[in-house]
Amino acid sequence: MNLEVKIGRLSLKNPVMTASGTFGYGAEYSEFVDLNALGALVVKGISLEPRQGNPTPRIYETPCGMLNSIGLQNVGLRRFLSEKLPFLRKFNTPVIVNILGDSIEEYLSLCQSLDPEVDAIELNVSCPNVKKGGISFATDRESLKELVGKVRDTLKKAILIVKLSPVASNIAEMARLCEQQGADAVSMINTIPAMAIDIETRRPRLANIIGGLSGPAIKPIGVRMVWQTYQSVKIPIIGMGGIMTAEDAIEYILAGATCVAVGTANFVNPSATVEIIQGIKDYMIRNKIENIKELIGGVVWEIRDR
Amino acid sequence: MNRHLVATLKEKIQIREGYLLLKLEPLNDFIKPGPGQFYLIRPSESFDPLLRRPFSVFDFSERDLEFFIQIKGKGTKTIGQLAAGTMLDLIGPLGRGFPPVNEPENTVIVAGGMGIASVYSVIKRNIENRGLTVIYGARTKEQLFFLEEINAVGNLIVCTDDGSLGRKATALEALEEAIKERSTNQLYVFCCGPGPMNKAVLDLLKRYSIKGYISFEERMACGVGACLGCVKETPSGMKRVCTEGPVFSVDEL
Repeated sequence: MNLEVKIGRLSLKNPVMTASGTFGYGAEYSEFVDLNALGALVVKGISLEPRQGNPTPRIYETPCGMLNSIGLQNVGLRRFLSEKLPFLRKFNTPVIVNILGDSIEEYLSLCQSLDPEVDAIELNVSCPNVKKGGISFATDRESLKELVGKVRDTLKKAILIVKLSPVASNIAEMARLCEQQGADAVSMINTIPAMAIDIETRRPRLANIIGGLSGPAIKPIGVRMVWQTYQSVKIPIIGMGGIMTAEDAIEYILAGATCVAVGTANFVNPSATVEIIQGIKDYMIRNKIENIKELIGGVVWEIRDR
Repeated sequence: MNRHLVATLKEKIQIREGYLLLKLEPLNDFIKPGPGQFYLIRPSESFDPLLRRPFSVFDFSERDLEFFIQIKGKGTKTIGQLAAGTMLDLIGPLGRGFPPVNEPENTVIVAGGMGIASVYSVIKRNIENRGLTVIYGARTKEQLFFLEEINAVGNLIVCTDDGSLGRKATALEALEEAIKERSTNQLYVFCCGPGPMNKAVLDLLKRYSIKGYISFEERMACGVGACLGCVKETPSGMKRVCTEGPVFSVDEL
């Protein structure tokens, strides 16, 4: 049975990776998961300088999901390279570093430092482009085009993945734009901006008022967006959003995802990633599938004329 | 042996309406907790409620773990409805608990309301120490628990906001008096209470330059330091309640 998949030049032993921000810097889960078993490890988003993040409460549970507004708290590039990366390098698993910035210059500076050190860069483009009035890179075609193009020219070794936001009015078009600019893959979907209110105190549940919704509640939205994007790009799609089980992962793969990322599920079940890998194997045996690639985009449908 | 374990719910005792004592027996050998550490319990295998819920370990032995919980929301309600014999999925012991009580005659333990769940095991392990002082406060006598079990402690000061049991005072007022009564500030305070009380106790201890350890509560998801949901702002940056806490020493705050 072959579970190997490729993103650009990068080979993954299986299609299951972690979603940025839900697996710390790897060490936090190494007691529960054999990190060598993962397809790839995506670490918490890194900025050039350390960030404090938002005030608490930062998380709130909603039906079949959770809101978070961590505010991109992270140790910053320097400490990531000196304190976090050496541990991750001990494993035979590609390391993908999610990066974020307020300006194109900040992204480029991060890319220059990380390029020789890591296997792939995942651009978090849901940040505001401060120089362009704070509009998000994820929703503004021009900002996104410029960012992805310049990052592409900067990276010599690392694979380039762009993490797309479901806020974009047409996510498939944004994916195509990334492909045209030379991205090796797109990952989708980031969390969905959402809100909850305590009706007794009449105050928002999160200190930041708005947070990102993740978990099983968003899975059908993610599956739909992956399916639509699969129709319009040739580069691999990393599907994510509410994957809790192997069944969920297979659903994303059938919709068109080459890889899947497990996020919120890690909080609920710290060994979710390895259980999902095993579950995919069981499904393949049950359905006599030799190569995982046979499943990618394998959803069967017909449109009937009335 | 990792900290992800399965345990049988051996006993579920209703202490009072809305308050349960759960006795769990892990199926396999498990890492023993220390006082003030906590566990994450998965309320259900369904996805609603989704996240695990954090609970201080109330008491423990070689074979069991006990949790004292208040039914407050969806998660605790689901856990409260589980029948004895159910298998529970838990992660722990997590976080940093209380240090050992080295000088009981110079130690004051302060519990506010459900804070007793976190300090009970400290009290119980030092119950023979005649010098230990325990201050236990709540709004009314209906929110005070396990008084018989901790009555044997050297010096127990019970207080209620409404005066329905013990002194009519807050735990904070009783603590300040206990501090003033002593000629020395060579004192160690172990505290767990609701957020505002913890904050007030912290300010008091700083004012009197007294050493102390306070257990804090914050909404959390992963419990292992990954999600950064449960942070607490300190002079040296954001600290994770689940990992650097839940017990923080006063000089860190």
